[in-house]
Amino acid sequence: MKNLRWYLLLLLAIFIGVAILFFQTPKTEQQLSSNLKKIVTDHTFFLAKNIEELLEQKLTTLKDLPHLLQSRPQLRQDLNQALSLLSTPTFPYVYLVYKDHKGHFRYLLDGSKEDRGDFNQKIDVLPRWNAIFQTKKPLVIEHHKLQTLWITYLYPILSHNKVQGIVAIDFSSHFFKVLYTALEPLKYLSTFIFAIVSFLLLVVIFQIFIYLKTKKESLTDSLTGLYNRTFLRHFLDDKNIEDYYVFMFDIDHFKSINDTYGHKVGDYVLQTVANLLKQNLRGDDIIVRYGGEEFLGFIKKSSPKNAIAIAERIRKAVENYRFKINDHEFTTTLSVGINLHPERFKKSSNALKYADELLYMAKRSGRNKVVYQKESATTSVQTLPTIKIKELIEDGGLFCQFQPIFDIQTQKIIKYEALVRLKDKTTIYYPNQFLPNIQFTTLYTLLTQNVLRIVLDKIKQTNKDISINLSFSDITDNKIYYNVLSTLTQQQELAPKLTIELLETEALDHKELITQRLHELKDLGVHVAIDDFGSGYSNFTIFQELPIDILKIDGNLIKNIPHDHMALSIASAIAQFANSIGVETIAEFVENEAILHTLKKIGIRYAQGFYLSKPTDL
Amino acid sequence: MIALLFLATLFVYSEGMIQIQKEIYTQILSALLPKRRNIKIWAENPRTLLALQNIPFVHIVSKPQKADILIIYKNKTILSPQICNKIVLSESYRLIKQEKECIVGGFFWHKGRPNIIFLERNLYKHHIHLPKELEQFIEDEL
Repeated sequence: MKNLRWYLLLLLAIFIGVAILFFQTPKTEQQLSSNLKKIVTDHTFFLAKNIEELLEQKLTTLKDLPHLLQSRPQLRQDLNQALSLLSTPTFPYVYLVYKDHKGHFRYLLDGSKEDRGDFNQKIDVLPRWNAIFQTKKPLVIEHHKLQTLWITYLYPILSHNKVQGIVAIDFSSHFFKVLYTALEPLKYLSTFIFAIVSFLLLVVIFQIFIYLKTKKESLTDSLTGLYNRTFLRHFLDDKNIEDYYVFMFDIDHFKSINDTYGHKVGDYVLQTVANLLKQNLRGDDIIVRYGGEEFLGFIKKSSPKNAIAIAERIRKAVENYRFKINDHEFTTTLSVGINLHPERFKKSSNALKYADELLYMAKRSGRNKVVYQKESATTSVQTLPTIKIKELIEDGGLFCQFQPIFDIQTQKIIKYEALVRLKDKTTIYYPNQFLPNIQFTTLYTLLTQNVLRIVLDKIKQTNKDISINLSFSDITDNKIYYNVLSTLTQQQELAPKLTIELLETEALDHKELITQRLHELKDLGVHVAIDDFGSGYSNFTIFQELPIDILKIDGNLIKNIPHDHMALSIASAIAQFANSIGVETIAEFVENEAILHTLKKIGIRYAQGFYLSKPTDL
Repeated sequence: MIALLFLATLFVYSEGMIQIQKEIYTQILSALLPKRRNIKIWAENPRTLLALQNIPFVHIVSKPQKADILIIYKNKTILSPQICNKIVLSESYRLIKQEKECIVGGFFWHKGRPNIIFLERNLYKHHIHLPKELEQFIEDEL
């Protein structure tokens, strides 16, 4: 673009130069005409002077010339002959006139070789000729409308300070035209160059217009008119995002709107929300359509309080907007994440990711919210930024601790539960500090694969039974699932030692696929446990649908059973149910002897918890 | 390209002359027959015909006998007594001077300038009273 400006400037300079040349040419012509006129009139003055001298020689007096010449035809003839010697193609008409009592100009003498006037013949001339009777000085009259004449030089014949006659010498326009013809090539050349350069300039301006239009189109989203990701890439390259607050907006439940009302309505919602964003932001703020229903805003820094107020205003504007389709009316909401400190991130992409994380937190904490710091969503736990998690995994900070699971009757360890940890030089981080931030990201997949590798290595090293926690979405995730499957297929002796504990924190959305894959794993010898039963989406029908071997009762239920009758009843019912269908039961969070004692009474077989053993290295 | 421009320049020049001629004749003819809405004109010179054909009230005729006004250029043979009863104009000073009994006046180019002459005697003969702006062109005698 910078180069384009220079080229345009250069072309403009050339255009101005050519325009000056073009408009200067007529001035040159005028100047030449003026100079030429001066040369010619200077020369003609002497010619007229000679005629005056001739008349003085031939006539005794210059007074009353008409009367004097009328009475002497032979003299007139001689004088006409003398004057005709001065007539040339350049000044073809040389004659002497007077003004009669009616004001008509009439011939006294005429030396013209053609179109000669008779003595006393009237000649119609321009009224300007009369000026010579006032000035009594030579007069030059330029003809603009006449085809054959260029200028007429008038010289007064004075006697007793009165104009007795006028010597008139007409200059042919031919002489003038010949001179001007020499200038014609220059005129045509300058006109030609001017036309070409003007045309080029127009073409360039048109091209620039097309270029800018195309560029604008390539940088904007056709649906919403907002900037697109291509623009974002240029923006992040060119601008310093430290000058902005980074806003990440996401329309809540947009997929449901699309599914319920169709894509046309979805587009209408996107356009409306984009307009609401534009209306509520300033002209120098940047809004980008970041993804499907996700928008990114770069708002010029003022104060964090103001930024939060802007986000709230936008959130409320979307919340209060009534979307109307035919007779239907519906509303939607917007979740917002604001990175108030993009300057704390080395890379702009990390600053955007952080805003995305905050948006994710707003979503998780109920949607229709503005989240600008992690504390606002999680009260006590300090979560790690994604970048930090990535660094720790890449630097080998990922490891597992193993919590023993005891047989309550024999008090012997029957297996271990692998618990994932991250560590840096000084601190150990627990799953609730890093898992929520990386869920559904490639980082989560990477972490799961690493945990699986660690667990299988440990089984190989120790020949102990170990369980690992996976979610339903881990089973449906092709990358994770096929990684587990191929590893266990290659090392089939390890499979019976492995238990997969399925976390019941998600809905069972892809039942058939999960059932099929669990069966495939079970065929290899893997045990399947359902974790945290009694919380989340727990439902007894899950045992009809999934091939479950072990049931782990939710720790929040277990820790209350000594003093909470309802908790005891539920735990007891679960245990009874599990025993009746041949599923083993494990109780978590066994923190004291009272709990252990109660578990024994209600028939739960296995237990784990701090009272029995803390997680340790194996 | 240059040749075309040169031709165009010539065209513009002759157009200019015809335009001047047209304006002058419009004034002269309407002054000679002020009450007529349609004046029949016979003209000898084809260039004059070019100028006349654009004057709204002029109707060009092909025979001198049918004309109200005749404009002759060189050919004085047509000046019969019958013709001389009509208004005859000429485009030659010499002819006006030679046939001053018959010709009322005329318009002609002299030394590149447009010149107009009316003979007082013939104006009187045809009962023509020229407007003030043309009076300056009336000559008593040639």
